[in-house]
Amino acid sequence: MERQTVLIVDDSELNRMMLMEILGEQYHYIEAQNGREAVRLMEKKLTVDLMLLDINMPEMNGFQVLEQMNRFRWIDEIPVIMISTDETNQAIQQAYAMGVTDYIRRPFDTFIVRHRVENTLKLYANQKRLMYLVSDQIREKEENSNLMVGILSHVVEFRNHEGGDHIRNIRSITELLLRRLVEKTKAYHLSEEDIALIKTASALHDIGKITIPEEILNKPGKLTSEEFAVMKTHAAAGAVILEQMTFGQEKPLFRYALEICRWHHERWDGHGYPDGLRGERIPIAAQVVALADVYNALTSERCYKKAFDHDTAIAMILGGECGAFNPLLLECLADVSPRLRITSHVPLDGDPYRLEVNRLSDELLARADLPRNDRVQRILESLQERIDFFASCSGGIQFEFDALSGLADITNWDEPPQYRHTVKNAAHPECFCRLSQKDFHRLQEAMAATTKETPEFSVSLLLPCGTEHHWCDLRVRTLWSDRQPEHYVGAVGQLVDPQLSVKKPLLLSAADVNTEDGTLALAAEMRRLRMVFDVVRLVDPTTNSVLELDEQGVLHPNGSHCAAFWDNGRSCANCISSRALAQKTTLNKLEFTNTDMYFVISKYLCLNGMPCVLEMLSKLSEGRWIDANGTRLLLDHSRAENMELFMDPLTNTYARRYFESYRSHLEGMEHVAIIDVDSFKQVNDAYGHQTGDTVLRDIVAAIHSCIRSTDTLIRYGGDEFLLLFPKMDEHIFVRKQNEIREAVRRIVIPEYPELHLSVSIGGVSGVHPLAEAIRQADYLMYENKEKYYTEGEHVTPPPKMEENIKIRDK
Amino acid sequence: MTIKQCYQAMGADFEEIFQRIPSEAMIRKFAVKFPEDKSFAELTKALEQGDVETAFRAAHTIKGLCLTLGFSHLTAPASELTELLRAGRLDGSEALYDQLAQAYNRTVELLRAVD
Repeated sequence: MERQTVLIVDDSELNRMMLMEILGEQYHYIEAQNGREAVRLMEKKLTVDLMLLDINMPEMNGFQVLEQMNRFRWIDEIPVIMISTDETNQAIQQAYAMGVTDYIRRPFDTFIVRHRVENTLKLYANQKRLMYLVSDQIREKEENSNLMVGILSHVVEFRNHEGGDHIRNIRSITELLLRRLVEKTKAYHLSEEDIALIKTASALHDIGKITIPEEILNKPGKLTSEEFAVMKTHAAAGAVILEQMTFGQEKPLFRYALEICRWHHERWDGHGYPDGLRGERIPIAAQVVALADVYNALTSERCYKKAFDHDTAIAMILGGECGAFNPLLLECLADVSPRLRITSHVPLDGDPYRLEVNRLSDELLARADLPRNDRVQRILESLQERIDFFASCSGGIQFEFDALSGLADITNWDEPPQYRHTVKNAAHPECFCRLSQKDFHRLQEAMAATTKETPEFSVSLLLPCGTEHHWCDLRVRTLWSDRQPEHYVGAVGQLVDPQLSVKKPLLLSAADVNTEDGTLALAAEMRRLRMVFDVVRLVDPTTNSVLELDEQGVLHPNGSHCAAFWDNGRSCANCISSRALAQKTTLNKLEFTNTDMYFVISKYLCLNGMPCVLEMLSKLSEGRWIDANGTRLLLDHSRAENMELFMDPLTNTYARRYFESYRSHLEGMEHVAIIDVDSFKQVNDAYGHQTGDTVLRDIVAAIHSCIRSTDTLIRYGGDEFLLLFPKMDEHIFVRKQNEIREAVRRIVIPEYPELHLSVSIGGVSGVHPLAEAIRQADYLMYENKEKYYTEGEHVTPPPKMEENIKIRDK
Repeated sequence: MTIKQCYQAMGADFEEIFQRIPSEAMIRKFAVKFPEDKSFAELTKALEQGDVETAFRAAHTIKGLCLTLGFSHLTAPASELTELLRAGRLDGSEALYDQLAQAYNRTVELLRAVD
């Protein structure tokens, strides 16, 4: 084995000599007389397996060397053992914090020096060997990387709603065009390998689109000029994503991918974007993929247009209607047109991985997207009290059906508790054996007729009940994935035997209330319901008015519009109350305000001859179900155990990981604040980590006391928090920041009443994208913090309110 | 004079260093190089020029060497001077320097007498 190299950095020759003598001849040594020399040696990329570093040196001391090593990431590859004479514990801690592996204090013991060096080298050798092993495996399995490219591009096209063939078509067309091009000219020096690489890289042309907000990306209509400007950023964004990769930059595939991502929207006449490159300044790979992309876009259906046939598409491109291209490439397109006509929607290359890629990525996507059974489970669990209450009032059989597993969870409320819950396989013939053939077909038809817009239906089914048959009401709500393309994922429903239900003594099982006692009982019932539901009200859906029940049992409109509650500037798309009224029944649905999601139950009632609807609304817990735009269930994406990964265990706020994962969903947040605990390190140092933890928990509690459940608090760093608000008045946002500062100021740690806490906050409104908002908020926060430190207020008292408002207004 | 005798003559603790560096040959090899180290000359020069920073670094290096070499008789004066200079002070350095220089010179003399 080759001798390992030890770099000894010490200004004293005698010290260096002693270390070399002690460590012996098994190592190769390089000596540096001071820090600057050591840095110069590392800059030359000399192979160094270990560094022994003195602290006190002329020119550049040991800590400055560590700073450089951190800055250039050398510290990740070169283990450092620090050797020093009389440094304070603080200095030693600092050295460890800066990444030194070990520390030896003078006077040292030869045995210890030898063993620490040996151990450190062994440890790092293992790590290096592992790294080689892993990278070898990666290199070895090029098939796998093709597979990964396939999966990646499929994920992108899925998000772009482009259907499964888009990438495959682009690859095929790119290859056809390139092959024709090399037949026509040698000018581009394209080898067979280049063609293969460009073909592979073409799959990545649109990866920048992952940075484009969903609403713009998949907007069915024409984009506004602002939206189009955002859309156009995807080209440069794709290049940035690639450029930020820390490996593989030197690979030809990478170069092609970068060219294609950045320049596949450039035009031959120089009027394209992002750089307005003209003619042959556009790399040939990007030119070809641009043409392939346009042809494929024309011949495919998109959310904003229908598909053109092959001949029309070719005519449009050659006629210059779809951009300006290299005339030679247009010739190539015309040449390959007959082949394209046949092959454009048939796999041309017989890619052996395609099926596998599609299967795998579909599986991935399915897992990430589908609201699985546990989502229904969790919605219901969070509402368990309410559901139980409601179910026990109306009885019957409830079920949740998960299309993916084909299993139905059935709860029969008419059975004693131990027999209530069963799970049935819907595919099993026994599952529907009690239904007549005719009813079974009716049920199937009704299910098939549901859409995302009209997910509910109810049918009457004749079912055996003891020795006789009863007509039972089956009410079903199908569940749909929020993601495009819409797909059916399951159903929830309730089967009620009216003859059994009326036997229930509870008032709400009877729809008609005609007596004075009945009126009183209804009023009492509503009071009881209000303890269970967030909103309980009577409405008249025919006039859209909210009704009040007076003491005489008479209903009066109270003047407000029933849809006003939803605060979304429109009436409800799916008014179940009018349907409940018309059908004299009970229906439920999910409905959204701008910020929250509600589970709504509408129950038909007839009060002293006046028909009305009792609406019971449950807010779904904490707004966590909904993202910034109030449209998507966040938890669709993660199973319960993932959720735990997304919570910071100490403070029970969202963890940074959550932020990184759901960044795109948080993109629309209007107000962004960075909150940083002042002098937190000093608190930790002076009072210990346990107190530090308590401080963080108390501060989080203080922040929580000032914000709404729809606001998102994320532990962004150790003592740094990111707070995101949906739209609200700007002065309220400013007020909230002051409230938070005040609330933190009021915190008293019982064990250390002398400990005064404060936070510095930087807040911005209406800045997009989020990354920029965070950057600006961070900047403001530091400005405020500097003010806080320079004014020396960190002793006592905390920053004054007025000053902070001034800073904020700046 | 053996290295062990030399240590005894200097008033240093040979047993201490022998525990850390359990080889007389190696101790000897290290110790006899001590007079060649430039730190003391640097210290002398820096103090003459009133260059506290360089003086501190030199004193600090001497202290480190003495600790490593087990020159316990030199460690205390070297350490005192280091701390004074670390604080950026020159007042009083003269006395401490003289004290260190005396011990240093004697040490160098004795080390030169080692076989």
